[in-house]
Amino acid sequence: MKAVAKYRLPSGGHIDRSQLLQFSWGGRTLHGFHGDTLASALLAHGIHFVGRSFKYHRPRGIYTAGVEEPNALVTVGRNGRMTPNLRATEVLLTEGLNAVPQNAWPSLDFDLLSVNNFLSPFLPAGFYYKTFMSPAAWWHKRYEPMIRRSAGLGCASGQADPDSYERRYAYAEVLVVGGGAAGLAAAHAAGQSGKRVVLVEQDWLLGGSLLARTGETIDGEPARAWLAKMQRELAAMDNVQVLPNTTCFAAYEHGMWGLLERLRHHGTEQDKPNAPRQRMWWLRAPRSVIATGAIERPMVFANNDLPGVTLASSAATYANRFAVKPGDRTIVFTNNNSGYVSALSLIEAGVEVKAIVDTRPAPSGAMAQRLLECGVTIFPGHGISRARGWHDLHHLRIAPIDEEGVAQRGGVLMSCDSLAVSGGWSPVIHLPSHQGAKVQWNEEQACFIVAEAPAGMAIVGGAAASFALAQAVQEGATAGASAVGATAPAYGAIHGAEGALDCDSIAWIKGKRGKAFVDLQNDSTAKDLALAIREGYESIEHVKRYTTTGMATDQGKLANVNAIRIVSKIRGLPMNEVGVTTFRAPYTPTTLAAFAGRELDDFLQPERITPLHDWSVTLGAAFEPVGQWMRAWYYPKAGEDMHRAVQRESAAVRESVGFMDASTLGKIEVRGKDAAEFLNRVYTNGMLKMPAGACRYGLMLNEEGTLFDDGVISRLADDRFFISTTTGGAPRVLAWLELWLQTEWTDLEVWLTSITEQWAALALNGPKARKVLQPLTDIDLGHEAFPYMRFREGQVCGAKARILRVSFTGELGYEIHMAPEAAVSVAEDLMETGAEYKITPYGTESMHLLRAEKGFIIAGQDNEGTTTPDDLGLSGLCSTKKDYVGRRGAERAGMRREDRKQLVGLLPENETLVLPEGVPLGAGELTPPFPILGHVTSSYMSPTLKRGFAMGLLRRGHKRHGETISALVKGAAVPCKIVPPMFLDPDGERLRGEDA
Amino acid sequence: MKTYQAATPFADTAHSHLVGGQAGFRAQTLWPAVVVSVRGSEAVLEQFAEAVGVSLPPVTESAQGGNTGFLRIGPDSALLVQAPIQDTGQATGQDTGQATGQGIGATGEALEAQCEAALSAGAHGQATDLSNERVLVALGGAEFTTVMAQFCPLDFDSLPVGTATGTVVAQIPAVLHHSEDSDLPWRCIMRRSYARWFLNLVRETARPYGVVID
Repeated sequence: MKAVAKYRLPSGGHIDRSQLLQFSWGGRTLHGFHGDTLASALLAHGIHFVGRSFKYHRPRGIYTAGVEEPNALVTVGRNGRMTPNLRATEVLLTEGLNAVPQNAWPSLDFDLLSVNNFLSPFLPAGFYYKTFMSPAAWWHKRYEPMIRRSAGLGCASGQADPDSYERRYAYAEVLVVGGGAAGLAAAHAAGQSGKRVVLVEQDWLLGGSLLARTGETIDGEPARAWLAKMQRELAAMDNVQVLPNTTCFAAYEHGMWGLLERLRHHGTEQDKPNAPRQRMWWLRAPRSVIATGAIERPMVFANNDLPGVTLASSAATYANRFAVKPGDRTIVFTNNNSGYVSALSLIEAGVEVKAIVDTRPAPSGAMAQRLLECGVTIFPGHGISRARGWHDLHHLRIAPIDEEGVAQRGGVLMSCDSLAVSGGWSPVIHLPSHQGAKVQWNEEQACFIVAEAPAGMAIVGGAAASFALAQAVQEGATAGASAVGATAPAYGAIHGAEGALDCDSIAWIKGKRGKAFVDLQNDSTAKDLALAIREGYESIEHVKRYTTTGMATDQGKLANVNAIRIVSKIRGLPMNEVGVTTFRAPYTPTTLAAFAGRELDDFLQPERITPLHDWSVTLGAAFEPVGQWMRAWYYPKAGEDMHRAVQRESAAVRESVGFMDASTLGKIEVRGKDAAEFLNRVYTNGMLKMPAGACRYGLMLNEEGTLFDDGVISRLADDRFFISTTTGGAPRVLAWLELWLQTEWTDLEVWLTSITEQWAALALNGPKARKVLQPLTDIDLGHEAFPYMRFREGQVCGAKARILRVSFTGELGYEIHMAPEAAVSVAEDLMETGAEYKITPYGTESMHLLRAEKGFIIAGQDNEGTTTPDDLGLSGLCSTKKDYVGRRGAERAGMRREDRKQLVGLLPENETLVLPEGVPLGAGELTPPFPILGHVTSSYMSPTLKRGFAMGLLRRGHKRHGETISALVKGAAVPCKIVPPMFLDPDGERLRGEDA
Repeated sequence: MKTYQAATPFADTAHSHLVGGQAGFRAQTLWPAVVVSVRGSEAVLEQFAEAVGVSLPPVTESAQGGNTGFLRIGPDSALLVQAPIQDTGQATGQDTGQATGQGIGATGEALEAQCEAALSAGAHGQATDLSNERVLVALGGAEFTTVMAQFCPLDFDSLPVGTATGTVVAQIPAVLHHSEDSDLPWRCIMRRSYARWFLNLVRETARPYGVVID
């Protein structure tokens, strides 16, 4: 049996003393109880000092008992489950938990970088901006890595997370955020209606502040009994879902909420296969009750960051909820009534409170009286001018202050090991702020509150600065009921915390020495704020960014209001005129993996396969992703690498015959009496006079006149076309066409239907293509009967087919469209009839090579965002007799300049060389810096030309044929001859092929 | 001339196996199904509805006329769906093995023609057979909503029988139809290329609840 930890109170608390848990802290083995947080278990052992600060590496202790914790950031877990930057105040203690401190090297007690603390006169706000200015090139290589090493948070494990995460969409009529007294009352009232209600609480226990106090009663019964009753009744309502361990981290538009549910705590393993560790809920709830409570503020004074200093309410929480004493001798420093509440609560729990230091000159009332009766010394009109200690708190200088908060001579030095501070309370209004709610300063309660709640949202309890328990419960019940159109239930007598804080405006004790921290996590001080204002950063947004106040992972939950207070004092402006900075989602740091959910690895995005996919797999094809499609890239034979496979496939098409799976080409059916007129407007070439049975290659431009997509248009009938698009461009093109139809040309009678997958397609190419296909079809493939750029309907192997005589290789080509269920069978029949010609299946890489030999572009590869048809040498496809989308854009003077980047062919002087795609082109030796005149867009080794060749975009390219240009390859200039982008069969004689 | 052998899009889908205890989620491929897209104004859609013997349902609702479901997925668009004839109360789940020349499209084109023939002269409407393009998967089980909620943003609890709506299922554009089938009430219609990936995803997602794919 382990001895009870020194600072554990003998009784009380919401902990299970029957469950003793062993855990490790920085290599030390310690014990705690079930129900402890890591922080409370450490405090039970008297361990306050748990980390080093961000910039100065000062010793830091556990400061709070909740999500607002700025100091106690720890790394928890082992291997792939190691998670950095967790707040020890939120980590539920579990058996075997492994936690280590962060940002200290070589150890927490002896940290080399704590030298920063002594160098601090040279590290003012903006130090990095001012110092690491030049040379600019040093920033990435030297300054940034150095700063990152010294000013760091925890490190990621570097290993894959073995856990899974889940996303879930959900709906409710009412969302209640916060499971404290107000939230419980709201959920209970709303739940009575039978409508769907979701209650979320970030803690694993419901109850909020009720857990941290004693002696409160609701409806005539002890708060603890009322809490149990509410939980029981909510659990019995099928329409109410209570989600503990769940943070509402964001409020989005239209009643959308982001919730993160932590299903398993650190140190516990999954119980079901594939069960998630965390679940991200995307909840739609049109109405909400925000019962998020309030966060206590620190006081700002010299060395207010010493381990042993905590928020007063947090000290009370540790005593009452976790049965842990914050120290042996506690002093409370406050500027408002709640410090007295906490002091009394500590005393009731058995903690010795020596004194209360109150900035207000004349504190009075029942609480002060009771404290005096308990033997507590009260210092009215005093402040703490300086805390003293090193790794822990030793004593305090308590000094009288003037009305500006400036410490005066005199006062006393008082020893203590624990200081509980209260600088007032800040309602948690992050979620309304995410929705753009305006906030205003409430002088009475000394806090910012929401001026007008966003539609559908009610803000109650501490979040609305209603700090009295009775008021919070009643507001919650009323809001919950009104969210479902009911009347609020009446509550009986409620006795609990009083609401009025009577908060002093002094939260900053100005002394002569020592750092007075405003933002503990980012190490920014009151002096930094003053400096920022002196240097002209007056707007609070500028002060924030210059000093980084409020920019840490806690988003200034403790710091912001004190910072605004100080700016207000220095500038002599009212709080409302200083204004606030913007809260943004997420409310607390949120696991990135939970956003991804199961959309990882194989399930990152849908993978689309063609009817011929498995057939290609059996042939050993390698695949490449094109958009969401998996396309056969090349079909290597035994022992072949990609290069040799592509050379073999390409040669086979030139010399005999080959075919590829073209099923992924986008296909859109265009129908209606205005179909021809519509296509005539979106393609650059004329479509009106195209006869049925004809095909045409067409270009689509955007409004700027640059190339958008290309494809083949086939006319089935007067009022019926089908058009093809690039594989990746299909959804974009359909959306673009719909946009024109639905917004600009609503008078045109046209319907568009995507039919991409209604037809599987094979592209059969090569001089023997006719010989191979003719035996399988009833269509006469003769050159005259079925000319180039025509299509025919008929049958292939008994399957209904549309055959297009088109070619993307420069060879005789047929594109065979047929029912997907026939595709594999037809492919196998082609292999059979083509066997005597050594028919060769080829992939996308050979297709790319073959088309490049003919100078055919690939939209998206050989053009860029500014390329016009003219730049590509395709002005012949642009009608001068009609208007079309992009015509006026393309006709602007700048779009027709001669020095634009234009498509050219490139032949490296070294014939064996294949230029890397993307390399820059320039003149001469290319000694940097040199003007980049263009770049290589496509480049291959041609099995037919027996040499490397390329295409590229080059300034004035059209006029430079015959000249030499240099390509930059691995730092060297490679001379290339500029030629027209057509390397083979310029007269198109090969398109005829051999007769059947 | 040769005659082809028909292949189904689900040829390689692992069938009828239970993953993870009891089957909280079930998926059954319904092949081959007829799917025809019809487009037109309200008045034109009414003519199409009449052609298949139903009255035009409101947007995101459906009507059933014999074996033909009329799924009104938009103000100007609907899908006509005929699930495969079920002889034993179970879908066949396999292809007929007989080549029709156009796959299921033979029936689809007949329905397409039937619809267009029903149009009044000059009406601006269109019926397009998509039977080869779309596949139909029936979904259900005690944990249906739990599983679907992980990749589909619909409020399933509020969608009564008859609902037909275009949505996104696991990033895939799809149409969901809440049919009268009490066993596997939900029908998911998506492009055939997605089917295998979708069923793999379903198998993984539903694993903690037990899953059967037929």
